[in-house]
Amino acid sequence: MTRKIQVLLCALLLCSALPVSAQWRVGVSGGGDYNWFTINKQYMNNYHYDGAWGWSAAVFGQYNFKDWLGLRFEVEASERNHRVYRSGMMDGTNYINRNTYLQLPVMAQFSFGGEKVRGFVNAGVYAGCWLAGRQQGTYKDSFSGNTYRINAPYEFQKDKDQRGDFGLAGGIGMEFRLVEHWAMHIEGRCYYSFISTVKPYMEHVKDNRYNTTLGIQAGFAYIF
Amino acid sequence: MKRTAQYIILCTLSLCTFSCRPTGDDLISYGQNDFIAFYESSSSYAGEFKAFWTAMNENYGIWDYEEEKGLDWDKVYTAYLPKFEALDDTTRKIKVTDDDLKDLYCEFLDSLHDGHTYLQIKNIQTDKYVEIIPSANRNERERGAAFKNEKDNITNLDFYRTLTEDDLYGALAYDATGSRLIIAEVIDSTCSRLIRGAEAYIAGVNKAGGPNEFNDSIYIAMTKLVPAAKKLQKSIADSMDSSDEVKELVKTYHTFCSENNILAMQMNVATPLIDDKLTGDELISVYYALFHGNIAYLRFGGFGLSSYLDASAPSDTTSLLYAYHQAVNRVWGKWFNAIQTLHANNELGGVIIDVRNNGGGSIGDYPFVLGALLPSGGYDSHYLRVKEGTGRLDFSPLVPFTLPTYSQQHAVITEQPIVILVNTHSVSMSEVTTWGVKCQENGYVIGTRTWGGLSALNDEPSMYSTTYSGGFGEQNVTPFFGYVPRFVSLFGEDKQILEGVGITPDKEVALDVNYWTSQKRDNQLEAALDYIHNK
Repeated sequence: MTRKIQVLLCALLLCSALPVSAQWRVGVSGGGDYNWFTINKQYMNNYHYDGAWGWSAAVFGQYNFKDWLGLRFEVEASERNHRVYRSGMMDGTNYINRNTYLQLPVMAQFSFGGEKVRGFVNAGVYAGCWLAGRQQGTYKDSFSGNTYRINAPYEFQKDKDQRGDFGLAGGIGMEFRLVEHWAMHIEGRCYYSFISTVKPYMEHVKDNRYNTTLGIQAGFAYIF
Repeated sequence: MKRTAQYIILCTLSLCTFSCRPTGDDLISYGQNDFIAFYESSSSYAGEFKAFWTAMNENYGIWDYEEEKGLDWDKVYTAYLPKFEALDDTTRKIKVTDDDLKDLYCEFLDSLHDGHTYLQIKNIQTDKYVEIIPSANRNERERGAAFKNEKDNITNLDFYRTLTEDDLYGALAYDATGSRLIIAEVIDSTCSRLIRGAEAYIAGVNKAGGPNEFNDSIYIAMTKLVPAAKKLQKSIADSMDSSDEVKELVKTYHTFCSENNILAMQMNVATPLIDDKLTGDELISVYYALFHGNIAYLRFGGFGLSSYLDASAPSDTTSLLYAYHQAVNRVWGKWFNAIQTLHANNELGGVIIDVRNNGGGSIGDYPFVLGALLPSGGYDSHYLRVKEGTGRLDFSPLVPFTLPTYSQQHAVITEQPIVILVNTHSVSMSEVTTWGVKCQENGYVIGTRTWGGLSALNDEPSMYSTTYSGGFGEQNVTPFFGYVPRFVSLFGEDKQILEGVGITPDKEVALDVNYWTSQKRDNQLEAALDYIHNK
C-alpha cells in the first residue's frame, strides 16, 4: 500500500516539473455509487445477489496538456456493496455486504465545449485495495429457525479474499466554470474490475466474482 | 475535433478488448440422485473419486479449520487421482476388494476433524458400500483402550442403591425408565403371570388326582410353559446389551406368546406385544437418583427427552409407548422437582448431569437439562457459522447461537455446584451441554475428553434443496453419500472450533474398569460426588 502511495507522489512531482503554461487543477469530489456483484451462484436457486448503494469520496489532481486533453489522477475511498438475500424457506436472510475500497484511478480526460461549460470523458485504469468489510441486515439460521440482526465487521479470510483490485475506470460529465479559478463538475463514473474478489485458492475449481460500480459524483476544482 | 473522436474510439475499443473477465466453472449439484451428476461415478473409480472430491469440496463446512490443521484438499486430489485411475486400468485387471477401497479412502479421509461426518462409497466391482466415519477412526486411533472400555462399561447405579442415606454415595431415591427397561419389565411380568397361572393350574390338577383325558394335553402344555417362561426370564439380563440382542429377545418373546396364546387365554393372562419402536435405539433410557439426600443426578442415553416432555402423550393409554411416555415424564420430573424443592428449602447440595456414552440429539432437550438450571429466556452458548455457497471457504455471517432454556418459573442454580460427567463417547449435544456447564461459575466437568463433534448437521439430507450443503447423494442409492457438517459451532471469545478436539474436563478422571467390573462401582461418579461434598 505504502509503495502505491509513493508511486503516486512521484508522479505528482514529475507532473509539477511540466511547463507552467500548462494547466493544473486540484479538487475534491464525492457522491453515491451502485455496485453490481457478478457471481455464478451455480445451482443455488434460492440465493440472490443484488446490487447495493454506497458512497464515494475523492481528492484529485489534473494536468491539462491541451485544452481538450488532460491527465487526471485521484485518491478515492468508495464502497462497493452488494445485497445477499434468500427466498423460499430461507426467507429472512437479507443482508448487505459493505466493502470499503481505497482506489487510485488514473485517467485521460477528453473535454469539449466552451469556456463556461465543458463536457468531458474520462478513460483509464484504476488500482485499488479492499480495506474493510461489514455485514448488515438479518440472517436466518436454518438450524434453530431464529433470525438474527447482524451488524459486524467482515473477517477477512486470507486464503480466500482478494484485497487487491485493478480494472478500467471511466466517466462522462460536465464542468461548469464558476469564477476565474474555480469550477464545479458532475460526473457519471464506472469502475469495471478485472480482479476477482476471490483468490484462486481452489486449484481444481475456478470461482471468479467481480464488482462493477457505477457512481454519480459532484465536486469542485481549483484551477491554477 | 477529429483527433478527439479518434481518441474516444480508440479508448472504447480498448475497453471492449480488456473487458473480458475469466469466468468460473459451472458446477453440478450432487444433492440428489441425479443421473448426470453420478454417471461417471457408476462406472469408474477415478470418476467416483473426482465427483466425491468435488461434492466434499462444495459441502464440507470446515475446510478452513482442516487447512489450519494441515490438510490440503487440493493436494489430496492431485495425489490420489492417479491412484484411483490405476484401479480403472482394464489392462491390469486389478481386483479391488471393499477393504482395499476403504483403506484407500481412509488414507486421506481419516485426517478430517469433524465429529459427525459419515461417508459411504460404493465399490463398483462388488456393488457394496464401504462406510467411513473419520471421527470414530480418529478416536479409536488416538485414545486407545479407553475408547473401548468406556463404551463397553455402561454403568448402572445398583451398588449405590444398596447404601444408606448417611453414605455420601448412597442413592436415597432412584427411578429409571427406558425402552429396554420397559421391554424387560413387560417380558418379566408377563412370564411371571404365566408361570403363576400355570403353576396354579398344575397344582390344581395334581390336587384333583392328576390329569385326565379331558385336561391331559393342557396339563402337559402347562408343564412345558413354566420352564420355557423361566428360561425367557433368565435370558433378559443377558440380552439387553445391543439393539440386535434386544430385537432377538423380543422376537423370542413374541414366538413364545404366540405358541402359548391359548394357554394364556385360559389363564386370563394378557400377553402384550412389543411395539417395533421400543426395540429401536430411539427410545432412550433415563435415570434419576438423589445421592446423600441432596445431590440430584440425571442420566440419559441421548438427547431425545423433549419428544416426551414437550409433547402430548399417545392417545392409546394401554400401549407401551404411552407407558414409556409417562415414565420419562415421571423420571425427569423427579429430578426437576427434587432440585426445586431442595433449592426452595436451601438444602440443595449440587446437581450431576451424566452424559457419558450419550451420543447427542435434539437441541430441544436443552431446556430440560442444563437449561432447567439457567434463567429463562435462552442462553447464548456460542457462535454459529453456516456453510453457504459452493466455494470451499464460503461461509455465512457469524451469528450468536442462543439455546433455549426452561420457560416456566423455576429455580436458577447459581451457587450450588453443577457437575457434568463426560467421556469419549459424549458427542454433539452432550458436548454443547458440557460447554454450557464449563462456562458457568458453579459448573465443573469431570471425566475424560469428549468426542469432538460439536457442530450440527442438517436434520435430513432432503433439506439439501434448501440448504445446498450438509450432505450429498442418497444413502444406499447413489455411488457415494455424505453426511457432513453444515452448521459450525465456534466457542468462546476467540471463536475456536473444537471438532476433533472435544472438551477437556476440569478434572480428568478415567473410568476404572476393574473397580467397575469387580465391585460395580463407578469412580467417575464418585469423583463428582466427592467434588460436591468437598465444595
